[in-house]
Amino acid sequence: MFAPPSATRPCWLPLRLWLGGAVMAALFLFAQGGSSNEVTRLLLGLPTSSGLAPFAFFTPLLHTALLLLLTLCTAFATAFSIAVMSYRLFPSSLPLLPPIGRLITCAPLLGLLWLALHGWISQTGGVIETLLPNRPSGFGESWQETSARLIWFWLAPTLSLAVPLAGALVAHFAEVIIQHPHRDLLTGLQARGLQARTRLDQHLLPLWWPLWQQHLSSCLFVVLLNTLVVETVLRFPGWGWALVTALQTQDPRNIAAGIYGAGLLAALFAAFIAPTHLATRPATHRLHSSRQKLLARLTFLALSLPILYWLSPSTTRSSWLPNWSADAIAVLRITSLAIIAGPIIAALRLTFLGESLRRYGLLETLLWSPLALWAIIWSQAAGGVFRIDQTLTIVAALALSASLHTATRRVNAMPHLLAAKALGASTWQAWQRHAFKPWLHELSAALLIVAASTWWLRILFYSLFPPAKSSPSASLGSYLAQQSNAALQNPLPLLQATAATAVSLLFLWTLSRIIHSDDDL
Amino acid sequence: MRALRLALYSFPVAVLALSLWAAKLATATRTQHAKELVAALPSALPALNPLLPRSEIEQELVDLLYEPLLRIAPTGEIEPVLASHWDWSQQITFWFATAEIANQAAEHLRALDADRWIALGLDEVSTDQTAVQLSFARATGDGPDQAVKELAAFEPLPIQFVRVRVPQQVRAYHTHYKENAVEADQLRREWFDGDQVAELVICGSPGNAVEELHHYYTARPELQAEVTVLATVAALREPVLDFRLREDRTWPDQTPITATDVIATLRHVQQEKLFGPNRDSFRMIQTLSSESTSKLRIIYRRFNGAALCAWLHLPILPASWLENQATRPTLTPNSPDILPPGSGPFRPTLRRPQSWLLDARPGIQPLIGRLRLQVSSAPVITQVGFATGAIDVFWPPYERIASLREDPSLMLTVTPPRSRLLVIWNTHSSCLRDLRVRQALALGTDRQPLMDELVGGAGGLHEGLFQPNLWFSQPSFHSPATTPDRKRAAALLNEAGWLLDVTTGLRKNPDGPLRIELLTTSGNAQRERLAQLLAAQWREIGVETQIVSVPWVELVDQRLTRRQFDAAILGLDFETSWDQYPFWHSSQAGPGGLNFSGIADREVDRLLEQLTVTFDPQAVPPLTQSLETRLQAEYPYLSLFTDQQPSALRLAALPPELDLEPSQPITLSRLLLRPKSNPPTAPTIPMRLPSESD
Repeated sequence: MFAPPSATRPCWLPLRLWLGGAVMAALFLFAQGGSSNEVTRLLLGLPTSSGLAPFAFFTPLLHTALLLLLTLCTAFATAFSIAVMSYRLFPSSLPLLPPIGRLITCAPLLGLLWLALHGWISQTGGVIETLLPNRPSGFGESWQETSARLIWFWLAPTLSLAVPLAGALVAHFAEVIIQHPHRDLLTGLQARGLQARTRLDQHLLPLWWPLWQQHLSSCLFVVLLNTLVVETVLRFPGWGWALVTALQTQDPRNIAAGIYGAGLLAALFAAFIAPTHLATRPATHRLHSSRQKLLARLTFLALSLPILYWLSPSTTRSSWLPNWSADAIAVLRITSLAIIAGPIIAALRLTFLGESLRRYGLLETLLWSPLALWAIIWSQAAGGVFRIDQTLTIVAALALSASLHTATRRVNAMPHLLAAKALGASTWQAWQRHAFKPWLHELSAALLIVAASTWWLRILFYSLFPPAKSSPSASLGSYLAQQSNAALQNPLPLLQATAATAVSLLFLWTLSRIIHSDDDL
Repeated sequence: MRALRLALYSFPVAVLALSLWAAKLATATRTQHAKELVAALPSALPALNPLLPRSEIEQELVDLLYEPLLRIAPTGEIEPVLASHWDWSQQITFWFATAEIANQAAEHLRALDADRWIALGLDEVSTDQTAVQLSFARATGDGPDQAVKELAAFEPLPIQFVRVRVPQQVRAYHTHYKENAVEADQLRREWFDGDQVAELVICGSPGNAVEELHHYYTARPELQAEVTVLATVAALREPVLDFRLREDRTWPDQTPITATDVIATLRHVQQEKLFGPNRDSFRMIQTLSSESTSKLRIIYRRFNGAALCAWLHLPILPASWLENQATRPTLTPNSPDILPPGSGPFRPTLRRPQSWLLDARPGIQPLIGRLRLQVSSAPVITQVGFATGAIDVFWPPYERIASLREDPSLMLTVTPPRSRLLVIWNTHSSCLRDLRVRQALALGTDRQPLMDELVGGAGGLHEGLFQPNLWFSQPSFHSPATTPDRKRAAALLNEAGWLLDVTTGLRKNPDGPLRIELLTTSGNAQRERLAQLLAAQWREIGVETQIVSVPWVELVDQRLTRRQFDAAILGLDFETSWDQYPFWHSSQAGPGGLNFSGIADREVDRLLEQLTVTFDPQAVPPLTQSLETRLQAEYPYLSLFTDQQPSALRLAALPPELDLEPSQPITLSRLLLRPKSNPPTAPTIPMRLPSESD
């Protein structure tokens, strides 16, 4: 979701993310009437108002940092295990992993989480420590019981965050295995009589490993946004819950602390992954033959939505569709505006100022910053000055401009374009005959991904900050938020809305893959 | 790479295994709490001032932790708790010119034969210098009047009741007066009504203390004092309430509970002005004394049988703790050690900022031996806690009641009603003066929709003045006296001369439209919504209602007290005292009195006066029934619904021997404690003379 192209990653990214968060937090606090003293205290991590504990800023941040670390390890290890085990034991099942993983990623986490809570709480009678009244020790518990409660306190949100991340990773890992040109190598290794275990450990994994590691960095933003949902739903006392609470109560100091905290977390995340980043992208080949499968999947997804509608009970059938329509119309509007604004922003890069800024990689820094998170924060905290659709339009335009720039550069570097020029074709002729079509395909695919990302973000925003009941058709997100109140008793409306969202987003993603297949999208 | 692969394989397996183990054990720890009731509090742990609980939940906790002298039993009757029994009596004091005359008067009474003593109801005659004190067995009867006649020949000195009103602090000036007055000995009783008023009982010779009092204050004109002689009588009659305390009751440190503790508690209430509902009669106490550790004597200034009600549910605290209370910090949830110890069936054993553990005290055989209170910071936590079995009891908000009714795993009950909402009519208002209009408004009000919308149907309908389920509240008033009947309401309004204007749908007479001003409390969303709903209902019978929201202080001090209103929505605590004189007697109907409706009825006055001097609780029900019936016919108010706190109970957590009915109010005491079995009745032994033996 709005993952920046790997090639645009600037150097010193953790430092840039931290400074970017600090600048954004300071700007926000100044805009809300904060003093320079308050800004200084905020940037030093000191309490900005009296009555706060000395470590009020760091405590939730540390909670979330530890949670993210656990999540990252769990999700990566799980995705690795699933992908490699599938490759070794059930190779034919490997093509199933990407769509399943994408489906999990596309589904709104609020819906998935409440459905999981329904199953865990209402069906099995299990508890979630963070969703129960705080029970301090000293009530005659054994150390095993206390330890179990503490471990479960951490692992429940970890698993909640790890599942969608593992979905995204497993989809990518499987695609790498499928797309990687290792068939010839494998044949050679087999001919040399190497055992399967040796082939995997000593030859294949070292090839795939860098590609898998590289993908982690693009998950940064999704993980941060999902943290907001998981911590809010599970009431985990971390950065995400603190930020959402501050946004709900319109507390500017805590919101600024949340923005700064996001910068710090992003910097930590980037620093953790930095050693694994590759300057160049290893070669993969595209499976053009899978287009038919993609078309079949697209048809299936296109049919799923009306089937889902008609299978719904008549009482709930008409409840989620208006919200779905509202989302679709809003996303269409945002994308249309982004089509106009994106090229303008891309063109600005060619100006003198743009050229000067490129020297410092400011636009790249901006693209690698948690833009979507800032958009959500400004929409909710600016007192109605910026609406979510407006801020999402800006983010979509920026993402589109980056895609435009990348696509143009890539097409310009195409060998047959250079050959055409060498053979005497003008730049325009060379472009028209050889570059325009792939360029348009790549941009169209990028546009669809931007639309899907916008949709996903819009749902996430409304699920965290649903409007008043008087405007129920705002978004599927607000519908999910309303239905989550009764999810423990009746999860069906939530299930329908979650499925509808996942199917819609997966449809857009599949369509983009049909138009243009590229991992970097 | 192989080691890394194996490590990555084992990591999710380890996480999954650890998760399953931790989740299983955490679930078991949270949900398997046999012999323990877990209640989720909707807000922070209460600071819990036992003498002034701020909510229904706090009141229930106080009932578990502390014991009063008397309380209302589940049957609605008065039940002695720390007191084994109580008696009302009275004493009369005469003052004579000399001690010799006083002795002669006392001897005269002592010389009367036994039959005469019985006829007078006389118990004891005692002398103290010039004073003679007669003790009577009963607080009522004509014995005291006959005794006054018996002693009239000895010419007792006149007794004067004097009221001194000083706009500044009267106590300091009165102390100064006493220290310097020549006739200070003639001050027999002193009593302070707040900071500005002192009432004195003066009797004696040879000087004139009243005159000296006048001189003292007139010499200080800057004080602007008023000295008024209220009455002059021959004898001072004072009602006496005696309590006998149980000798087997102890505090947690095993020290016995004595009359000193009761006196210290009452002094604390008076000093801190913790006068809750029905505790106003504590202001009327003249003296408190104890002859022994188990005997307590309270002398009141006025005859009011309902003064007993102030002792109902007043938790008794240890005198030793109260003595040190001034040096203690304010009660906070994080300082359990400063909660006063109590003698109730449960005791706090552990307190943390988010949790509180109460255990049954030794010797008690409860149904459930432990109550754990946990703070639930959000509705979702309560919902999940209940769904998983980690919470057994919670108090849901009104808006959740409808959904909870469909949950078969819980029982939804309400706490006993302690307050209600009503509309009080100004019976002197031009529109509401006519009884038929008030009756029509009552018939035009459908209370069930009001209750459904505002309290999720958790309220109750009760017409009477008194709290339901008391021994003197009438069961017939538990159901609506009037069912909505708009046709009859319209007929009554037509009969009263308010005819319908078909163009506007409103009623009018030649003098103008039928428009009433309905006062409500500003800032209270529930009341404002209630006013809107009432106005909409009354609009359907052609009555135009103008809603006026005013602050509570203005509503009471200016509009109600000065009778500047037509109708007003009030939320009032139910009366557990049968003394209703201040609220409905015609003498209180003028501006300044508490009879806001201005009702003035001779029969009502008679009943109110009779109730005031009724000391026997068993004699109260017929009088209250007559009073309520009479008032009902006058329609001075429209009772809307009672305000009851709903509570949800997990059926699986309740002990099987507990027999609960959803329609009955349920408290924590009811859930945790075994109901008292009726004591075996003593066999009746016929009284016979020796000659009548078989």
